[in-house]
Amino acid sequence: MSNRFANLKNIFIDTVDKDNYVDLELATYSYKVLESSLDKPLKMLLIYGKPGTGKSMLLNKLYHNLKENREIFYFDAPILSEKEFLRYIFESISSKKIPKNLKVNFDGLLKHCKGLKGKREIVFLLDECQLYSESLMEKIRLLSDTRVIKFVITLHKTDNEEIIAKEHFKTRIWEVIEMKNADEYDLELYITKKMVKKGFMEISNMLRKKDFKYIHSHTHGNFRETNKYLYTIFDLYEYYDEVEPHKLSNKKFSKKILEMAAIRLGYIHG
Amino acid sequence: MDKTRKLEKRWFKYKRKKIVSILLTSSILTMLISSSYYLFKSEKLNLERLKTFFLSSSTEVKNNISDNVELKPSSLITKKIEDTNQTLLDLNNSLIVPFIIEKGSEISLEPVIPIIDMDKEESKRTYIKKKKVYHKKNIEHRVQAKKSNYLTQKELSRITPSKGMVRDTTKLKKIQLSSSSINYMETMKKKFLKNKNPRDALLLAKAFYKRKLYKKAEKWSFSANKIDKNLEESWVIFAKSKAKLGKKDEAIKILWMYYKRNKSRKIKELIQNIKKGRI
Repeated sequence: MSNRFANLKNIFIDTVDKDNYVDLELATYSYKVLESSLDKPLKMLLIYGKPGTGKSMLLNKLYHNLKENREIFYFDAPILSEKEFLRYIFESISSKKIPKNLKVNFDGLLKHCKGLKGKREIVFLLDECQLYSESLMEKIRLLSDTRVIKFVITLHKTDNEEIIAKEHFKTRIWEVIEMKNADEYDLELYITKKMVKKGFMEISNMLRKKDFKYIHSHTHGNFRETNKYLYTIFDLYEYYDEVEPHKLSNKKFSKKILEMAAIRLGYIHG
Repeated sequence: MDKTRKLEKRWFKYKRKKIVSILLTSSILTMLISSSYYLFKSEKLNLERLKTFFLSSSTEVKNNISDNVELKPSSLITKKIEDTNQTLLDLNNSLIVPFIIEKGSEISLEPVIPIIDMDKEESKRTYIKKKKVYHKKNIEHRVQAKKSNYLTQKELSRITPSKGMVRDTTKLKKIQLSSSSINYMETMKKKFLKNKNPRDALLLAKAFYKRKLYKKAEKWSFSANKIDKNLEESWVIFAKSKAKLGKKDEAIKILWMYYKRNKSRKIKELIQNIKKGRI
């Protein structure tokens, strides 16, 4: 019995895994736009939105869906060193390993790319690009100008600055996809689909509209926050199921546990 | 395990707080609702008291008049006086201006404007009480006035003319018995100039309107309107005065403007009345 909730809570561990991807209306639409944009002669594509809105998940899904059909490379963690970044780019393009003591010459890389024009089209998926330095972004821009390399980048949307307005993006990004938090309906779909997908239909049926509403009121539809909240909820469920099972109902989802989890995460103050 | 127990304790605390706050909010709300209800009720009671006070004071006046005067259903009271030097009313009753009635004159009384300076009135009332002892001497000659009706035959028969009271119907003279409204007007004017209270201006306008001084009524109601645009009564007096002065169209226009804003039924009725020429 206790395993049930232990397994259930694990599906809400925040991982960027294509198996955890849940098809929601907005995400599906964004994916289609992204996929079709890759076939257009665009130099750069930007996915932006607040943390936890599913940018990395989208990028991950794109990579796994297209990796068999086209030359696509996914940098899930930002490579902050310029030297390392250029080395990875070159190694990905040439499929050759460069000895550690050697350094990739940027001009040489540019020339190499220009030589591939019309012959190959390589897609690089770069996550968390807000962490890249200005000079590295400038090099990415120049590489995209060769029209051999196409970059799909993700950026955190911050309240203070509009990154898209930055010079190096302004002239090149032709497709911008904004990711948003889920509304109540989408969040309900997300949670239910995720649970049903892993075989927890019975428990998902216990969740009522007002429970989803309550979850949304705390997480505001942010997927990362929702995962965290649901993980905590099922962690508590696991405890009660093991220690005090009489306190749990088989029909209704426990409001007490919802509130306790909210207290634990600091959404409300007990 | 211990962590969850602690969390549960925190949850109990949170729940307790929530219940207390709900109870507190609901009790505050109940208190607010009930207090506003009682406030409204007491306000209503005060109004009632004020109304009764005005009514009683006017009845008092009527009572004083009743021993010598026949009361008619209308506000105009007439009675032929037989004695030359008899005062019609209690001289000390300041609501009625004392007049020495000439033999055979006919008296007409205008209704007393039911607006009274409360402090002044209180002192007058005590004075009247003292004077009641004096009145008792003549009480057998007096008849209780019926409200808004003629005296009955029986009641009239009780009026025994005192010595020297000779009825001379040939020399009937109409005497206008006015109330202390002149003093009242002056007091109110001063009060208004001092306080700039639109209610004072309205009371003055009402008083002038009753005295058929429509120009003045128009002026004072306009003054009230200038200060308080939502004082419906002053709009009513203003329009009625205009209508009385022959400016019916203007009166209707003004009332329409007010009606559009406040949707008052009273105003609508007044418009209809002015249109039909009832005012």
